[in-house]
Amino acid sequence: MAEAIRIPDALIDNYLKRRIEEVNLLEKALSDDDYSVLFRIGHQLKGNGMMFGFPGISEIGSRIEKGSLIRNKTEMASMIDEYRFSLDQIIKNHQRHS
Amino acid sequence: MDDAVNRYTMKKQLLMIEDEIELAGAVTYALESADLEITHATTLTEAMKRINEKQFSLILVDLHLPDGSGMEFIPALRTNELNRHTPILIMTGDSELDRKVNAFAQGVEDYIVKPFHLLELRARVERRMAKQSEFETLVAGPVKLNLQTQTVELQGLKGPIYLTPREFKILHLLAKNPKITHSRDTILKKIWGDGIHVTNRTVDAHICYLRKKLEGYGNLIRSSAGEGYRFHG
Repeated sequence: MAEAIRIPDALIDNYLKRRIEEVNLLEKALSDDDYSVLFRIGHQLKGNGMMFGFPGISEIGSRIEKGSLIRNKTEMASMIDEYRFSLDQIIKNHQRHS
Repeated sequence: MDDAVNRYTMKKQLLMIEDEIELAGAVTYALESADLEITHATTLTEAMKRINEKQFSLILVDLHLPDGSGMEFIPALRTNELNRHTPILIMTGDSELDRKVNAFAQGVEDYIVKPFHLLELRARVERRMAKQSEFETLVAGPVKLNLQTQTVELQGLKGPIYLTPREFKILHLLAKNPKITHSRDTILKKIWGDGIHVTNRTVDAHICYLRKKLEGYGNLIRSSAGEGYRFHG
């Protein structure tokens, strides 16, 4: 089986740093009812998480993307909370292993 | 280093149009080992400038860009003098069948859905590059013409030989139609065009230089008495 490409830690650190900043953008977009921003960020997370070795980010990104089309504010808020919590766990795990 | 040497030693050029900086960084990292030089544009506007600056062997395009859809880029690319034949690989989070079918209908060569494995992207890019190399190369017996760098390699000779653009065009014309005699008038018309006033002697002079540069293979360009020239590869 072909060996996976391992992305250098510095790139992963930058990636995770950007994600932390982005959670605030998600929350602001929800309070502004700006579902286009929620769709865009969800779509991007879906696409980039797995590439950096975080399939959980891709999975929740996909749910945020779909949720932004349904526009249920309560559900979106709960998804963003879940994302913030998952991201926190992912970062702690990454720091432990890098 | 003269321009011809620069063109020969240059790595294969790839343009990536992607607004996510970290993702672009990961793709660049994955593709660098494929011996490519990557130019990164984050917007369509920036990409339009880049395609006027140099010829690329492949263009990777994201569909959702800050100033429009990556699909809008395709018609502009197909009328661009330097890159009208450059293949496009779409990399996007859009997995809908309609999007994919439409992209292929618009002339893209490949489509990969995010999230993807970097290994898969690299494999697709490498394959595309290999195909592009076949497209960019003409082999005529012991003579190999690189149509992108416009350099020539001769069997048994290390390194390329450098021709002037006209010499290269003449050799290309003769080598791609081996054993067919091209009259001096035909060569004049095809290489110099109608508007330039040069004589048949100019063709003879260019052929003479060309034969010298082809060293031991100069006799592959043969003259047919009073008719013109042909290539025996």
